[in-house]
Amino acid sequence: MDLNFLGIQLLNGLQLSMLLFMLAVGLSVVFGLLDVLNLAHATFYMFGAYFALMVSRLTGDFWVALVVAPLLVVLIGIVFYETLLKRIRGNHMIQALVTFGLLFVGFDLVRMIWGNGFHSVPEPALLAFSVPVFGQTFPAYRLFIIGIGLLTVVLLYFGLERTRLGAVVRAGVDDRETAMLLGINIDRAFFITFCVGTFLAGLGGVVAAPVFTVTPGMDIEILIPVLIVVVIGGPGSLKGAILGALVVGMADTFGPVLIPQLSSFLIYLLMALVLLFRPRGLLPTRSGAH
Amino acid sequence: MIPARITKRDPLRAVILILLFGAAFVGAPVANHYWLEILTEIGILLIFVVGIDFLVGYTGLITLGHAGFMGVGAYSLVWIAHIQGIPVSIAMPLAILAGAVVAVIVGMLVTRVSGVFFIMVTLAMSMLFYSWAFKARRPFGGDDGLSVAGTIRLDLSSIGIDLDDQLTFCLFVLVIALLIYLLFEWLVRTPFGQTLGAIRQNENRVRALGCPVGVYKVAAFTVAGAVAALAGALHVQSTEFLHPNVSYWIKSGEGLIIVIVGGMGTLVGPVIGTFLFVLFHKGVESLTTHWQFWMGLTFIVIVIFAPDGIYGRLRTLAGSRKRKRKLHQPLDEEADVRADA
Amino acid sequence: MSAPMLEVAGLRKAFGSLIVTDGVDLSLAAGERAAVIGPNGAGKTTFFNLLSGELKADAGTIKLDGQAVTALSPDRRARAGLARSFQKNNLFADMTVLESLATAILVADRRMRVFWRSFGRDKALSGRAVDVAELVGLADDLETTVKHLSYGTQRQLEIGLALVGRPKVLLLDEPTSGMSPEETGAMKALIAGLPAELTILLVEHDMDVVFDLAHSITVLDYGQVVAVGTPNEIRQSAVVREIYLGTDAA
Repeated sequence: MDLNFLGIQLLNGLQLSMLLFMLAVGLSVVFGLLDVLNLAHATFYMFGAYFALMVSRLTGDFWVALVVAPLLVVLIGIVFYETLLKRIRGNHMIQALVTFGLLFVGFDLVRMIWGNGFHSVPEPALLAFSVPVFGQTFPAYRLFIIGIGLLTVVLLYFGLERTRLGAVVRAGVDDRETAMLLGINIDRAFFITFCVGTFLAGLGGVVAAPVFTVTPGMDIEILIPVLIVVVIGGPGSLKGAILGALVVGMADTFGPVLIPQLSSFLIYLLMALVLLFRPRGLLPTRSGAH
Repeated sequence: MIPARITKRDPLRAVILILLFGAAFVGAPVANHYWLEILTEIGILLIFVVGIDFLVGYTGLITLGHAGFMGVGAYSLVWIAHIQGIPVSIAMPLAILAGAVVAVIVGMLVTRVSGVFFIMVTLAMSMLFYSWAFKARRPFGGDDGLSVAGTIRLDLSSIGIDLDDQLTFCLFVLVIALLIYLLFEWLVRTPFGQTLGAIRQNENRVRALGCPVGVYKVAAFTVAGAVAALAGALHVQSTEFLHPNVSYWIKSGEGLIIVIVGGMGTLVGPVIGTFLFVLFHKGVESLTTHWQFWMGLTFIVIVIFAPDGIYGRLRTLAGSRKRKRKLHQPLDEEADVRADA
Repeated sequence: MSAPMLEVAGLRKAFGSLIVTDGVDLSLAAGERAAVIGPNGAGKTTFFNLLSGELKADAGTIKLDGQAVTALSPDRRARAGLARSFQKNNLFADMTVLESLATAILVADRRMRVFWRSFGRDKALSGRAVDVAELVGLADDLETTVKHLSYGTQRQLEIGLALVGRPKVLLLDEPTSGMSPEETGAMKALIAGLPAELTILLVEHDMDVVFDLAHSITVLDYGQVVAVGTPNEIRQSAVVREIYLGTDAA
């Protein structure tokens, strides 16, 4: 095993980490902010991929899909928020269960519209080449995913740390009651956070579409590692989501290479270790897990 | 004056139980192949589901990974009986024991978190089992599954029971289901069950009273895990085919849905739920392939508008009728007017 | 004089750089009624949680009837004879009063693992539950569901639940908080009427309650003990007056 090979694996791991991050951060911050575990987050991701399929077929242009598909997902998210989530505010368990029901509904909805089959979305022509790195070639599109992920990290960091809204969100995650006593409009902050999270889930679906196959069931396939990211990182924080995503992405990439016996169990094992020693995650927020 | 009972009786429970099980036991001998299959499925699902209600409705541990233990039961039984060639009569208790042992270990991990977090972690743990089973080509056939026909049914011929006969097997499953139901019905009425209920209602208070709450959560998790392993062992005996899907999240999800739709924390509610679920499933299946869509939608509506489930509604209805009758005993005509309307 | 029932020495707790309990000493004789008072933010709640075990102390010792309980978890402390009430009602909302008390008794008796006997038909248990209910004035509400009780009645049940384990020391966290004057009066009478051998430590905001019930009062400010004395001494203490007028004049 030479260094070049490790370098390529590192890029692969980074690419997976960035995808996981885009999904986990929305789930995690929404969870940290209002205790809402949105299992249908994975459904948004799946719809992102299917909308990408639809739009890129209609227009023949991936770049249009990259912009339009996540916005369509946000639209669905808003409908879901206004019709269902608002109605059952305050009861976290019922909210989680409703999103769980949506997981079933979304799964069959996709089958009704697009059928059972496997689809693929071609990567954009602009990026259909390979870059020589570490003495080998690496698909430019995967570097693009890493780039999108890093851009998301930077934008979210500035959004959370440098804007008023970000301060409100952080205050809400840290200590909801105090934030509300201070007259902070937590509802609006929550709505915007929810929309941003949903947008990122949709975006994740779009950028994942050319790499993974687009198929019903891709929702749960991503949901499990994303939940593990949230458990490992600790819910509620940007840093937790980044750390969790890196741990899971790297473990899933290097696990099969370095410890083939453990292969796909490695991430579960890591989750178990975290539960054992840091049940609130590696980087918990002050209010932590409830 | 000291009241005769601490907790109130719930006679409606017994009535419904007798009606449903009565129908199953009376119906089985006259049922054809198709209906016997359905009744057997109901029996096995019922064992799985009352275990979930014990966890969700009584102890307050909302699990979304309980099918993992069905998988443990099914795969242990196949490994011990089909692959190692040990008699099923020995293998079955061992499979249940395996479920209990795995449940202790998993329970100690997952009960470190609570609430909504618990849902995430149990889901992930069950998918760990699923992803293992999915890849375990040898000796379990991975995602192709494994036919275990002829080697997996319990042999009770020594006491004159032939479980290879479909009707006999169906009755056998129904009897076990009834016994498991009664076991839980008993457990929840004992000090142990009462403690679990108190933990669900107010964990901190129970701890302040001097109870090591974590131990009791793990104990409940273990009982439910062992019972799910039993359900898994019966499932693989019924279908004579081993497949990872027995532990898939959809199976766990269906179990949770049945419990909540039926009325969690009532035991008999989930029994109603199981009957309705299987019958509804068969009915919708013949009309559409998009069964999950309708199930998900029904579930959402019930969770929002009737969170106490079917049995909760029935009890409220029965309670309010009784109260009305007491209030208006001399005024029979009012009841008549209501009946006409 | 006999050995103290509850003895706290050098208790310390910091959250980050903020020291909220700073070397607190306290000693209670058996059957003593004592109170801890102090303005908002004095560290009363933290001190209470350190005693009950919800929080772990950074330094110092807590002895209950001569036995060190500093390292014990809340449930172990409860079993050792240190019971607590909660500031906010912390009850079994869906049970009846009788069922709540009976459940609490069975937990206090360490009979949780009994799975071979009926709970609902246990006459001895319900008899004892009724005794506790009478002690806290709930004999008429046995069959009422807890969430349908009035606030003041719920507070009575709160005390009742803390009493079921026949504790040596009872910690009461603001037993009259949020109560109307009549309810406060009833609660004062209830506490005054508890068995004389029971040692009670009140953490309380309401001065009248403290002065009426306590034999000795400890005053906390910024996590430190600033005064200890009888109600009369405390009433006349210049230090105490300054603290209260200075920070809590309203």
